Amino acid sequence: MTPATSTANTTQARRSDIGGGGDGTVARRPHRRRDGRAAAGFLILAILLVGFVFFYPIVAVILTSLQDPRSGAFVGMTNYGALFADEIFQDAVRNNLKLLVVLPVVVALALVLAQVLFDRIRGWRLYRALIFLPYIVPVVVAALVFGQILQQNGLVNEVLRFLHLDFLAHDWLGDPTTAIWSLAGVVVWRELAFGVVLFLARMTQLPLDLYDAARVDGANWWQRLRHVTVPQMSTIIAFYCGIVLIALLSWVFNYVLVLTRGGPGTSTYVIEYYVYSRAFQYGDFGNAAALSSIMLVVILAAMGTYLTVLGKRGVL
Amino acid sequence: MSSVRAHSDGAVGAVSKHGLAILATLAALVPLYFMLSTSFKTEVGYAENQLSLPLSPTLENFQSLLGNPQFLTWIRNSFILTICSVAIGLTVASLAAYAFACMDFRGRQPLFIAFVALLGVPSVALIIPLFRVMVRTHLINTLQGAVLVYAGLMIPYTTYFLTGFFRRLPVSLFEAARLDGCGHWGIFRRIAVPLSRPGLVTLGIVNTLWVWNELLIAIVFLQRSDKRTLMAGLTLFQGEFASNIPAIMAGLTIAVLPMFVLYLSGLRFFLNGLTGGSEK
Repeated sequence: MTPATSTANTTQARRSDIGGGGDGTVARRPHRRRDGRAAAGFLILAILLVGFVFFYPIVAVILTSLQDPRSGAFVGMTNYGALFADEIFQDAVRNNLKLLVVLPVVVALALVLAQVLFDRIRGWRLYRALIFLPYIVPVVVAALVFGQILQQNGLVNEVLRFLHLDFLAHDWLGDPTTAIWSLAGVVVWRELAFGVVLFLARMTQLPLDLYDAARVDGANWWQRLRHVTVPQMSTIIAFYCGIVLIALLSWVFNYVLVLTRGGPGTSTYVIEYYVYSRAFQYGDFGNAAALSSIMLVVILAAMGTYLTVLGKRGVL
Repeated sequence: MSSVRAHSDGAVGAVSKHGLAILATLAALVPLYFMLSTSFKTEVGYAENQLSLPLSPTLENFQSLLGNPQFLTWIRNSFILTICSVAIGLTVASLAAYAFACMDFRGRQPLFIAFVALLGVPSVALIIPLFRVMVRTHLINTLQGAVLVYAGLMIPYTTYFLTGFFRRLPVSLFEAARLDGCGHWGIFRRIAVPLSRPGLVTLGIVNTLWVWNELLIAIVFLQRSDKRTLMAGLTLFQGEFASNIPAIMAGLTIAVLPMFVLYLSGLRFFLNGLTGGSEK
């Protein structure tokens, strides 16, 4: 292989990386012979660490969920019963479901913005770099800044009053009806950036002749987005949806802790915050362990099935 | 090419595209501008006008923070934690990824699936048993304990992506090295790692951002005030100094700064590495 083709090859091969170690079309096995002993040496540290942080806690928390939190006696599904009977838990689930509204919003916005930048409007590189900025801002920082901006006397209300829209001004995070939606807005602000950059990068790999053909056929901008870009990018869109979905169901703890601490009342409680506050504020490990176990079983079952299917198709 | 594309949707199209891009940019920047400009204001100046530039900028907020030994301890803790756990996590994960990508051994596929399945597991689901183990092993309230947890948590994700990178290296290089008498360790060190630098840098940045920004593990496992991280400190600091908003904003500005520098210095790597150098 000449150096030129070898570079071309690696570039080619790296293209679909974000989709994962994913498409095994170019996967290679340099050494066919069994090298079990050497492999053990390479893997031992990872197995020990993963065992300590994942495997052991998974087993331990499931056992804890079946025990009485005080006596440690086996109580079967009692903790689970108590969990589902807890109204705060029900509120938490409901709030996580409300947050799912963020998913279509960020996907649509990211697609439109990526397509706009992809059209190489003047200064698109600068736009891209600036639009990406929120993603490097720590959630804690974003949440603390928005915590001020959304206050009764904060920037948002100041601007609304300036525009003579006083009737809209209120305590965005302090009002139980708007708190969860304000939180959702902060999540959009920070998570959108990754989608734009991800989609834009993938668009630059799409064959341009498709767009030329669409234009010759008289397709307008929206039609090109809808009928050329979206179908061509279905894999990466699905990937992004997956990440955002996981984030909305199980990675919003930072936002909640900093912005609202679950309040006012239980209006912004989410599943994660429920586990945290039950276990570490109220010292009730029973309900918290039961909920942790449910999360683990659901996530691991879903991932396991998905990966096994991929493995059978030979694309893992 | 580019000019053809830019102008093909007409003047109205171009204007609305710019309008959209500017709107998105403003939405991204205004909160950050608010943070930065407020951090240079006095409390009085902030009360007078929240949106204006600091008309008589003051460094008072920064000076008092950087003269505060507690704040400096938080920064130090965050640096130690981030550097150590990223170094350990990346090393351990790249060794494992090499085994998954380039070695043939019994149980490879099931073990790989077991690793990758952990990708979606939220740390909150593991925190109860981890907390108990940390208490029992006296690793609670120690940076070492937190480093172990952070490094462990980043392994599934990091291993998964690096496995993808290693698999795509040109197979001929491996064969050549093998003919030269290189063992797996030699191939790993001289070929796999150097050729995967874009991937390693990207994952290094992603993991650095993650540890620096992490809050849950930081507040549960590092509760003693001399072990707090910057993020945990700032979250609590908000409670203590709730009225002095410029001081809080100065703290936040300092917290963003290292990540901003990292972003600028790795911008090219980051935007490209994220999608595997798709851009020419």
